[in-house]
Amino acid sequence: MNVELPPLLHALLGPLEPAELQLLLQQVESKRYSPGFAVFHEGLPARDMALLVKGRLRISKLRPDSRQENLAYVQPVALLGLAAVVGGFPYPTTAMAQEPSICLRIPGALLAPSEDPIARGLALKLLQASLRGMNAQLRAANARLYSLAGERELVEALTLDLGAWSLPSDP
Amino acid sequence: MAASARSLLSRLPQARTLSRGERRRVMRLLQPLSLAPQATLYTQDAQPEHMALLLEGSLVVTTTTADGVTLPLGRVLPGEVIGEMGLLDGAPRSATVTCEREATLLILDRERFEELERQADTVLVWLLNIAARGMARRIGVMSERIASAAVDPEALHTLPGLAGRRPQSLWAWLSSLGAKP
Repeated sequence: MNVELPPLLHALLGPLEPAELQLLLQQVESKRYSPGFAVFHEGLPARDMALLVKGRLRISKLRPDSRQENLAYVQPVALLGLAAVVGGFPYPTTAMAQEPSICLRIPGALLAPSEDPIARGLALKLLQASLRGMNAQLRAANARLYSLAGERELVEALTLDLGAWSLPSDP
Repeated sequence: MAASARSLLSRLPQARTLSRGERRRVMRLLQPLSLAPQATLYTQDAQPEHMALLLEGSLVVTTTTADGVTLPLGRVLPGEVIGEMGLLDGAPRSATVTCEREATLLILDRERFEELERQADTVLVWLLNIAARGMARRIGVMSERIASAAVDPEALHTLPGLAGRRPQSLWAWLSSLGAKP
């Protein structure tokens, strides 16, 4: 493929040891998507993240009235499906190729603790990148909520009891 | 308190993946801390000195905007990790965390965090997995709530604290997004 992977992965994860990079390259799968083909579908179990390295994806969500609504267009380099994979919930949206695209599929299993020190080092770097990415998403959502500062009860209702979700299904 | 913290740790669902030996290591590497209601764990803009795993009780996270308005960002419940971003990025605390109900925590200080990071230690991978799952679910739940409110604003009335209220600014905000939360 015409994409130089190591610099992309270093940009995403920070400096990687040669053994970590080798392990990552063994585990990720590079996939090509023709226009109209889905990288992932809303509602399906989220098992891997998709790093868009070439092309363009449309992100959409099915509305209750069965309308497929476009939410965004994404260009390289973008990591998709992060929160769903880490949180263990289905993909919340559908990502479809708008033009010939290449994604690296990064298995969520790489985030799990491992007895192998190389795998553990890689997991740590993936977790750190995931936390930074999700923290940015959460900050963006909170920033939008700040505009509702005049309605304190509303902000509380949207944010305060979110923590309860992390209890029941954690291993 | 250490004995109590050890017993609380073993009861956490998140600790079930740890062997007995790993739980002992967690207790050796992290320091127990008790907080009384209203006590402050983290102060917005302060330099981060540690991260924490909440074993019992509850904490409330708030932030103060540039114009002085204090907003709640979330509640932390047992089994959740808090304060990890400060250690990852070294940036000042973005929020204040206070104790809501009498709390017991395990604290991982900066120095030990850096040591565990260098060693890619299992305990740190375990803690960051918990932190990542918690953050992912917050994003998931908040996105769903905002999305459902965009489609059906009445859905917001089912949220705690909003029964019977019609927060007009939210409707205006959602409309301005063109139903693209």
